[in-house]
Amino acid sequence: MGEFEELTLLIVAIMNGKAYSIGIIEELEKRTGRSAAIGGVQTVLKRMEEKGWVTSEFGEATKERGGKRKRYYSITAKGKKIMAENREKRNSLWEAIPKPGLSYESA
Amino acid sequence: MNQLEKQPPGWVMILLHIIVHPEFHEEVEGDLLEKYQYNLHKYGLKIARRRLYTDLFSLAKPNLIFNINLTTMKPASWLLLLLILLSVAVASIAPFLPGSGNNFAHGLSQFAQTTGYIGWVFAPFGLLWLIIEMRNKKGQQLNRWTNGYYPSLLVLTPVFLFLPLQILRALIDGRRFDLWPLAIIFLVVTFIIYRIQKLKKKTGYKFNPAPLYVVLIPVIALLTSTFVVEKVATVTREKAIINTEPLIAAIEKYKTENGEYPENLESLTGKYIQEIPKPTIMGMRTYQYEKQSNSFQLIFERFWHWNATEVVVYNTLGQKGIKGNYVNFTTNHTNWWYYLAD
Repeated sequence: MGEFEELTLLIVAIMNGKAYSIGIIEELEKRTGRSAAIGGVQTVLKRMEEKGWVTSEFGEATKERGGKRKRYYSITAKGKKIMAENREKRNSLWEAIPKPGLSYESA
Repeated sequence: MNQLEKQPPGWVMILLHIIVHPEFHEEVEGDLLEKYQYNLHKYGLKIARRRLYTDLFSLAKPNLIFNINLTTMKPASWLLLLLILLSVAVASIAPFLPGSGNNFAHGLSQFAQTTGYIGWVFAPFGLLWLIIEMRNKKGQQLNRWTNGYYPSLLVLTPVFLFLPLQILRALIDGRRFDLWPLAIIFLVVTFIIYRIQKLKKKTGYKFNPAPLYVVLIPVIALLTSTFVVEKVATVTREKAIINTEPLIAAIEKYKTENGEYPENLESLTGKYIQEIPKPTIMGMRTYQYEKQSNSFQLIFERFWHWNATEVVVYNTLGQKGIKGNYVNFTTNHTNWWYYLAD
């Protein structure tokens, strides 16, 4: 899983069923200070949908969208599992860092 | 700000519809409009437009354009495609490869290189077919355009016009050896026609790699003839020149002993040289010998590309006596030079 993919999946999970591409871009910028283009987010969303990590369905149409409907993305059980595995891997890496004062080198 | 500026430029929306797969049009168009409106109110027209163009550019991604993963193509199909592309590249440089001289290599190369040029007539139709093929989706009911039947006919029509003309030209010019590769192509086309008849009945989704061939074969043939042929030709020319060293030494020895150059190369065999060396390049059969008043010339010719023959000449006096408007090229060897004749 790439870093951008992981961030997008986390944002989809945070937005809890209300995630759509522009919303994800805004949330991403707000939480990480990272800006993203529509094509980048759409590509990742389609790829994750193909992998079965997210599902999507059309929502409401709005005026500012020229009457076009939004597509809302939700995380699936498979997506949650992947996220949990990823977190575990990262945690184990954090755990593996020697703690100052406890390692034999500094003793 | 006028009403027109509140909307993104029309051409952006047209491009969006061309680039993005139809299944994503509504969602992506809405996204672009929503983001444009947001940027317009927050940052003004200039920045909103600039970000709109960046977003449009960012949509040019394979999975948004085609909605298909090329991994749906079987590994065996990829392998076959690679083998055929490699064969085209090798066929293009066949006359320049080591081996015994034969006309088949010449015909094969001529055909492969010609494909590189003529293929560009078919390639746009192939690209259209490829886009149609890649935009098909699982579960979609196919018609004669989307199942590739009409696009394949479009591609094949120029082939049917081109092939008989090539056969006729080869017959008129007396190039019987060129007929072999053409005969192979004819068989391939016959097989393709059989496959096209099957396409006619195809209604369900299955990725057909045929348009990939139509697009990639001309690209490979052109790249090979543009970037590889000249390099290989230089290497093999050197090799063919070095092969003549014992022959030239034998001719000079004959002159020392007999006071004049031999009438032909056969006079050398036995006493001066065991056997006349061959160029050992597939596109060259023999070295030609010409006795002149107080000098001699050794010449070898080979097919260069569809419109030129390379003539490599050794002249004892270093003379470049070719009639006509040909450009002479020097080689790294004394008294050796070459020119391209059409």
